[in-house]
Amino acid sequence: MKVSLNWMREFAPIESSPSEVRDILDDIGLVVESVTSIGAGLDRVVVCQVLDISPIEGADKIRKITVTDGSEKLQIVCGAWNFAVGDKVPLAKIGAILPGGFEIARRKMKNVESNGMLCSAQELDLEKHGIEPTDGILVLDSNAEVGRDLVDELSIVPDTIFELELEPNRPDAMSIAGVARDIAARLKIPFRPPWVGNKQLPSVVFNRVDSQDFLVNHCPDLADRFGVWILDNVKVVQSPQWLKQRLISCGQRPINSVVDVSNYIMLEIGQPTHPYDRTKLRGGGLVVRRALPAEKVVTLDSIERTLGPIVDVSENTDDCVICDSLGSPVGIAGIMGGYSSQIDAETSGILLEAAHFSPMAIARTSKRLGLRTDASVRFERGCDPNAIELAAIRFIELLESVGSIDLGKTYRVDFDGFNIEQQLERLKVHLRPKRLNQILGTEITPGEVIETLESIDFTSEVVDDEALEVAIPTFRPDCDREIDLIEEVIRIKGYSTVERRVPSSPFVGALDLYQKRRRQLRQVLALGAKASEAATSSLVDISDGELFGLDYPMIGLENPLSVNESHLRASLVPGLVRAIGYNLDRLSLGNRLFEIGHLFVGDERGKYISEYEALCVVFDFEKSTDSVRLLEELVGIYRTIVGGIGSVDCKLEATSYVGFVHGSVSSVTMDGVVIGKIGEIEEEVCRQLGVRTRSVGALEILTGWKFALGGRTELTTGLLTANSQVWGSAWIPSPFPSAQFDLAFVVDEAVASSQITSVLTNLCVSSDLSGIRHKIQLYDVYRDKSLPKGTRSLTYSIRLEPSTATLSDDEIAKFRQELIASVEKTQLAKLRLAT
Amino acid sequence: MSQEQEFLSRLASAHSQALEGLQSIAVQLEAGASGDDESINASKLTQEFNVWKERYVGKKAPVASLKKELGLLDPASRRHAGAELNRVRDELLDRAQELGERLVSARLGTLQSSSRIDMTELALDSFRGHIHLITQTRDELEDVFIGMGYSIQEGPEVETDWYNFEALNIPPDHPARGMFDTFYLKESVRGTQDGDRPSSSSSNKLLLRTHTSPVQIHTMSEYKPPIYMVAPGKVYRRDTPDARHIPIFNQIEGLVVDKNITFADLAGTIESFTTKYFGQDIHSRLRPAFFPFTEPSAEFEITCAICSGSGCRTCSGTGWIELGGCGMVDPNVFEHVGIDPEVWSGFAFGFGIDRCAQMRHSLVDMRVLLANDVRFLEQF
Ligand SMILES: [Zn+2]
Repeated sequence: MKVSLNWMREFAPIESSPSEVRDILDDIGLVVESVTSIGAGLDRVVVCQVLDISPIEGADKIRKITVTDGSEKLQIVCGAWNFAVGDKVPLAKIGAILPGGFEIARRKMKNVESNGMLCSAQELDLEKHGIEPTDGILVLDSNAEVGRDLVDELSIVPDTIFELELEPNRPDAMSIAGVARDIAARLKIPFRPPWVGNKQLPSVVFNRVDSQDFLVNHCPDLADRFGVWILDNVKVVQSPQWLKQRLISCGQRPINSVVDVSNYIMLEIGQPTHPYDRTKLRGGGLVVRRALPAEKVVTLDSIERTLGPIVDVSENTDDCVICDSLGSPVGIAGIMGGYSSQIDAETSGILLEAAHFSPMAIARTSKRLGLRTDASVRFERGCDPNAIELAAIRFIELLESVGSIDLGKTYRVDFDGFNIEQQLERLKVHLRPKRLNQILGTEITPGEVIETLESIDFTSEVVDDEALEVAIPTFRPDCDREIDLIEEVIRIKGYSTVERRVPSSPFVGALDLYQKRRRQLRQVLALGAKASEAATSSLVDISDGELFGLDYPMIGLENPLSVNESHLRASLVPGLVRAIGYNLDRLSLGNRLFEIGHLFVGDERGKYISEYEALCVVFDFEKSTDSVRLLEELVGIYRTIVGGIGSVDCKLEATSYVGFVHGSVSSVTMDGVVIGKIGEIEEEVCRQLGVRTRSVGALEILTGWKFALGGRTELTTGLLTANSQVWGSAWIPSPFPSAQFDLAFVVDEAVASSQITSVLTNLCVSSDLSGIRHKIQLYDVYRDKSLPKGTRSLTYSIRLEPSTATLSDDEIAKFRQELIASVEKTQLAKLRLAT
Repeated sequence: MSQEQEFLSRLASAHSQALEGLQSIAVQLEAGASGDDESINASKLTQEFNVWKERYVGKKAPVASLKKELGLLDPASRRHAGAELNRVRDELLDRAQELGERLVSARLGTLQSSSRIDMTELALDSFRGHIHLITQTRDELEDVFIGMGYSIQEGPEVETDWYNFEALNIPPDHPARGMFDTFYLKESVRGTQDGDRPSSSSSNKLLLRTHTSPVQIHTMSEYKPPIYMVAPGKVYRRDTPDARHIPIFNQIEGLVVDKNITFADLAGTIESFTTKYFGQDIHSRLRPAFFPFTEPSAEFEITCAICSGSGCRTCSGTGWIELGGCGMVDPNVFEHVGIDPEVWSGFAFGFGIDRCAQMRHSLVDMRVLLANDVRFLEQF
């Protein structure tokens, strides 16, 4: 929305400078996007007349031009050829600074002195003043006065244009008058609306005909106020320069006097009107109705639009069409007029429509058609229902002033049962000044409240000691509650007038335990596991997930931007592997990335969804024939994490997962619940995800945060939720000597070391040696030809810490025997060596 | 033999023994230095030298005891014998000093050649992983608010229409919906439970949250006031990425609900946060704006750090940079979560975490946050 400072000055005596006005606009919530100066850069540009044109020796592109500016003859060198002796053209004199900042100085070309520059429309940036750019020097009208400033010759009025970015709740600010009203309120200067003192039009019933001949409204719910005026004896002309300039500076293209005046009124007061060529309207009047199924209308822009319910005929439509008296559509209500009845040079009679439409209906139709116009934007935000007649009067008045109509041949059509003059009542809302100060933290008196509201046309009456009754103007559909009035008062007074305080929270701010441990986890990953944190997209290609045969269907988007980003990730692994690939392609080897983020899991039918937080670490590694070294690295990372975060209850269990190398992958469990996976990713999967030259290891573990939609955030089993904070008593190292011995077992390769560990642990816990602290560690794995085929030797170190007495040799020997027996009993292992 | 002769002969004998010992150490040192004998070790020789010093120039050295006997000689002999004793003592001290210095330099020399380890070789680049810039920014912002007595709340990224829009006073077809380009989930997907929300089908429609504001609703539904919280997290807008916008970014939401919370408290809190996070020279201002879930609403702007508020291209000459939105919680929102707006009042604010990082580190193209290029990640 562009507003002209000159134009606003017609309604309020704004004396502030353009930059002051800019600050005011920003401060009252009408944010200024840009400021343009009209007429700037045209100082010292005058009309001159060409007296002589002669060639320059040795130059075939430039010529020597002699001109007069009325007082003296000047010699100019010019490279344009589109003018002749006698033509009047713009001359930028020495010292002029053109709109682009180019300063004119005396120059010499081919030894010929040039004392200025003849200019084109582009060089003078005249397009924004309504002058169509042409090739070559701008040749002015032959009546142009030599020596006159170009600004005066072209009737360019210096002005400042503010481009505003308006919030959707301020339809009243979509007009020059509306913006002027707000500025005047802030400056505490009078606001004089354009309609004050305008003459009323004679109310003539056209040849005593029934108004039904001019308007039948079948859908007053969509078009709740509708007025029609008849203008005969119309002469369509070019608009005067001042009018054109205002339209152009506010972003409208001048077309002809009738269309221009309609646009002018819309910009001025925010009420769109639509003039129809009455001779092209069959039957001479209008019918307003809902669109029929798949009804077609060709709009002003010559595009055929399809309206109405398209598939289901029984469906009601809110598309409102304006038809001629015979029922053929001639426009889409409130959005765009039809091609067939448009105003052209031959138009001799006009039917003028000024109406108020349902904002919601206009918004829906406009959105569905993908057709946004200056009119639709205003109607959908809510025009002033009381501005209809005003708009028509302004239209007629202005059209008369530009010489397009004869007031004697202009009629308002009066309708039975609907009087356009009848104004809608203003909504009345109670405002408690005490409440206002409670919300704002201010001390504004009731008198100031009344005065401030009055300045934007909200009128107040005192109800009692507590409350005012405020009548809200009909051009402010956004205001209908007490809080809206409170906002208006402080908006006009200025947000900066409110003092600043800081509320004192009754709480001690802190992270919760989960959040603390999550920060700790990041430190462990970065400093311990030496992995860098990435942030990959939550939106992925479904095939990325399918590479891992994810157990549950991935959730799709209704309106994705692309196939690559059409599904919610159910795992962080594919995204991180892709990130590894991206970096490998850029010659970074040995990348180790981690991410802590949300993933989204659907149920078997892809119908219900749960959201989890998870940790994922992915790294690339030299390709080799076996996985041992990669897995050592991977388990090393795992141990750093589990050790660093203190989640000692996590266990690895060999298993298999789609997408991971068979035999090189484990699940991560905690309290018997699987919370993650860890392993080497299959070569083919890596390739699909963009990693060709390296092997990839990955681990992904749920951290414990979960959200089931419709439920609440909850903490479930996960890396960060283990070992919730319990204050156990400290163990004091015993004064009695500890006992230590090693047990080596021969164990089948198919049996996990963790199985032996848990047998040993279980025995320690259940043994009658309770009260003795134990520590069991696998400290050596040994493979050798001397061992039976398909087995390896696992050596465990067992340490016992008695707390009440020294352990006797017998007790130790007995306990060792029990441990050996318990392991051998499982038939998973045989003792090889005990020391 | 006269007393004097005997005295001189004992002196000469002590002298020659001392010189012999000294000579032996000197010879070994020479052998070690020339590499002829690798078993020679400078520190061992130093120990030997210390023993020699104790024996020949210390308090119990022969020279020292002879000096005490000088008094027994007749005066003429005493002068002559005394002069001779001083000469011998000075010579031994001089030679001891010289050898001592040679030994010290030999020990230093030993370290520099044979057992030298180039520790600069071992101190390779200090390799570590890096926490993401956005996480660091988020943590720092959280800490500012924790210091002001706030808790950290977190909500889901998949939301229902009700939480993302309706409860925030944005009913279907509200023009404000145009402010958000929303990603919707396929119609067939739903939440796991229906919970306590209205069951109209449009309210249950699932989407990716377009702002962190739904966490306001979760928090007010779950906890009774007073509430002082911030909610950081990921949000989604259906926007083709360009240098200034990415479709997935991070916001932080703030909410305070208490008795007598006013617009003045909001303005003061924004100012307090601004100076704490951006520095003492950066200030804030509020100007009117429209958000359906707050009223009065404001955009908040902070001093342009590039021009320090004097106006430049980045801030379009205004001296201010827009950072986020804020306002007093709209009474309609309170009613949706069952809080009486006549008893409680509150304010809310929200702004981009990525934007804070962008401003601090001059990220000219936000798309760098999508690529996960380690060369980018490793600088923070
Ligand atoms: Zn600046």
